[in-house]
Amino acid sequence: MKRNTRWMAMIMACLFALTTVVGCSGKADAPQAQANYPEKPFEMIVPMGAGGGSDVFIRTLTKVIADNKLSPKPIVVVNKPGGSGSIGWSYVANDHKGDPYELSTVSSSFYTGPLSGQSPVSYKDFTHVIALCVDPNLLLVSADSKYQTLAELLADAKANPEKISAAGSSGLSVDAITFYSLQEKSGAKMKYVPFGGGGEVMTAIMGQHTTFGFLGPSEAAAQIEAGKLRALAVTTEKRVSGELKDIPTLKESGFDIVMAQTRGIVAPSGLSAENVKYLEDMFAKAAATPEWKKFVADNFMEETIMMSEEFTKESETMSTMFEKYLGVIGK
Amino acid sequence: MRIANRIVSFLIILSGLFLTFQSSNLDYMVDGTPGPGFMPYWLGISIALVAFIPAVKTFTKFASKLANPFKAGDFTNFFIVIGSSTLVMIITPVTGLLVALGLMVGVIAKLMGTQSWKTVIGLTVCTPVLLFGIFVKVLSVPLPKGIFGF
Amino acid sequence: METLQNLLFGLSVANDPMNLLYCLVGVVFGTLVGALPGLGPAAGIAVLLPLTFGANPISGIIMLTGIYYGAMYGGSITSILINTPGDSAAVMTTLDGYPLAKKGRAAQALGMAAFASIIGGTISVIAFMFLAPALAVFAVRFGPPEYFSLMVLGLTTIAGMTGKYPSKGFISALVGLFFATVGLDLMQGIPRFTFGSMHLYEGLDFIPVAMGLFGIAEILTCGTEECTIKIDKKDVTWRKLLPSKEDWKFSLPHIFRGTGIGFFIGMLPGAGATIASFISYGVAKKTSKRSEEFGTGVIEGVAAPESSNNAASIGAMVPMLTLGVPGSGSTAIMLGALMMFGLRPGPMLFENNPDFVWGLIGSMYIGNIFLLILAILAVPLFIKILNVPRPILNATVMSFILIGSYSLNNSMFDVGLTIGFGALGFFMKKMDYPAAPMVLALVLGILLETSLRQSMIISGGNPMIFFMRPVSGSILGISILAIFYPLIKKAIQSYQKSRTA
Repeated sequence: MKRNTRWMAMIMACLFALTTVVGCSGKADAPQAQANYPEKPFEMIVPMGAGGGSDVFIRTLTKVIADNKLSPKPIVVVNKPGGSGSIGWSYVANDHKGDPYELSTVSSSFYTGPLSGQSPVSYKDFTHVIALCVDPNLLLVSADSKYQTLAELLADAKANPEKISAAGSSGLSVDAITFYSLQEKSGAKMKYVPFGGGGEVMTAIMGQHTTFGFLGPSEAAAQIEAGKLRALAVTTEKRVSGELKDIPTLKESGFDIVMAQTRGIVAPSGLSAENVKYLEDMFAKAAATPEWKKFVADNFMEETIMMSEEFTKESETMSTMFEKYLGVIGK
Repeated sequence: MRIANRIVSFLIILSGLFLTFQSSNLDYMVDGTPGPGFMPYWLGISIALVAFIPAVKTFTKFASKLANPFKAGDFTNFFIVIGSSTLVMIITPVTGLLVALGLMVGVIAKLMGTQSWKTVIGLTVCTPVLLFGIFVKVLSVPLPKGIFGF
Repeated sequence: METLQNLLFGLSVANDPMNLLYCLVGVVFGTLVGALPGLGPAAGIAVLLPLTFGANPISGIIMLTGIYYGAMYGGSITSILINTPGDSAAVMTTLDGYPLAKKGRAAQALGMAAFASIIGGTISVIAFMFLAPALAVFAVRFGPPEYFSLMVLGLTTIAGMTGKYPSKGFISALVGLFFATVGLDLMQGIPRFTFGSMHLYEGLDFIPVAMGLFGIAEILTCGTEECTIKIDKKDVTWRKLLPSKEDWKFSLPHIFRGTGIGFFIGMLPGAGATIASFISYGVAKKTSKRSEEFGTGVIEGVAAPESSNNAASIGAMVPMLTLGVPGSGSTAIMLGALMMFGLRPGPMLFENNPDFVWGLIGSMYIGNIFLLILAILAVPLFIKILNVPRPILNATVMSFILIGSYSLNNSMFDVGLTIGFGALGFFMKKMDYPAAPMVLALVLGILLETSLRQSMIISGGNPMIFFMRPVSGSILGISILAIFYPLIKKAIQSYQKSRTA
């Protein structure tokens, strides 16, 4: 270690010498003057791998912005996966505090990460720019299952405790929280089986390895349409529109649970009000384009525009909700 | 070789026990099903147990057949390659990854026995350019940049 | 008949000049990316994904699948020539491919890898075409208990890779299983053995481990003149480059077996090409006439895993297109691409978008032909790598390994990890601890543990669940047989000997 520090010191010295010689080439990325913002490209950090839900969301959004020339400077999308997102998020919030050119997006580990001590940054370290839509969650059974309604399923679960099992993505997720709040509110004792991702959950439900499971509509819609899966409930406040409008909400079924993944844009904390306003406007314009509306509809998301303030409040609510059930999961 | 085998076995046994000890911090069972500590616990014990076998074998006739695997010159390459690549880790924040790799290529090629300085310098310059072409231009990987701006 | 008509229609879609071009670009690019250490099909697809946005969905997906199976073949090139697997599915190819190269038979190994890949790919496309919807049902039957049994079967192949000292092989495998437990626990979300580093939350990535243990360790132990492989100019003629009749005789049965295994395992979501190549190598070793020589450079040791990983890449398309369930990391990214194109994979895709599905199938036939031509043309070029003086080769390969490991997650942490595993690999090699079991166990271990725990939650803690379910029970039965097969074989042989004597 000692040798390391000595090395570092030497290198730092060289670096210092070099910068003095070269001139001010390595200028710090301090918050820029507001008048000519933006004056350089934005960096959009996707804290997950390519091809996932967050990645598709961001890449489509940036493509809409580029195609409609909504931003005078390009938005460069960079995947920084690892640490369940905490690497990407701490890169944005810690390493680029106050930098209005660093943007990112949110997912459930944005809230669970700091609560379970995995992530050094929480929602409080971010400026919430805008929320664009929510991803509803569906409670599904296989088409061959004997349960036609949620009430039937839960009645059976109460009669046979510890027999009914549910599949969801990972132990700390929107799926898990929905499951535990449903268990709490219904009084039925059931088993939650965490899986690695939506694909595995789908197999578990279709193959009836578990009694029911949770999936997003974009993953499940094709199977519902083909008659292989049956949706018993949706987790949003109101019913989803379009092909899935016949699915009752959990609220209609008598359980006051609303649990859906908000998708939006965040930036590091310490941004000026003008910059936030600029970004809000830019993304709001993108959300108003027909291409974006088509993407949202195609993927069964619900358009829910929340401006900076409202989005921050929503994050608070989400975080409290996760905190409440984390104790149940962590036991 | 006997000694080396015994030392390695001993180290493996220790790490096996360490794992078992560490995994006792994790839940062994949760609601009657294996918890996060279940696999590591048994893996640690198995590692420690199996690691006795190579050590015991060194006391049998079998051991005399073993040649000493470490020859004098063996570590030269080890130090050249591991040393220069560790240096890459250290200087990358300053010079950027491409420059660091270029220097590493030169150092490895020279120290491993390339005679001509021309070749060495050519490699030092050409490899980063090639890597830049492939990884930055074609694959658009965001490589760490240094003070030179690349 | 209907299938054939559909195929003709598909071929006509694929024969559109633009689609042909996309297919060719995909295959060529895939092969190159696959050959770069550390970059596998998933990386290749992820990188080219944005390029396909401008294209129409059919051209886009044709290019992405081209990358997929191109990279599957490309991975074998560096495995054979410099003992550095380009991606996880190519690890098994190093075991016999590199010894073959050392014997001066690199060209035949590369040629066989190409033929095996293409035969595996083509047979799988045919199977895909006729059986896809029916097979999807089979994939769904695999629940956690079945995965657990399959992982156990995969682990039995370790017995065939232990080298001179079985105990050291088992230690290596156990440590690999332990490495698989590093990271956030799937169930509780608590970090295990991450030593406070966020970079380890998602577990030890397979690629840095494999590149360190194979690629760097090879450079460290083999830097001197003794390891230089001499290739005679005279030997680089077309006839000598291609595998001989005898090679074919040894390899063909294993290619077919590897294809079957690869296609089925590739179809299972989450298992994928890597496990397929492991199991088919294990099976090849068990069933070959010269199983003792495996690991010293036998041609069927290259043919089996290579046919298998290409077959698996096609197999993985079955659940992706029919269920919307990705069978591997690469198909997961392709699924994301399909959604961006506005296509919804699922049972209805075949009815709603026949031009898409059949165009894709048609392009896979054409792509495999491209791949064959490319491979044969490129073999003499690739062989030239071996003529590069060892110090220069080592230095350049090292730079590719390091930059490749960086580009996995765009993080220097993985570079350090790769170097660390390189050092570990050096000592393992010197002390006769084989690396392959560790790598195999790392891949299998993650699924082994999660499926064990998922099964136990489902069964309420009753381990009989693994034996009571037919599919799971039979796989476990096969694994038990596989473990005891060598013992039984020995017993029978000694019995026969005693009778004849």
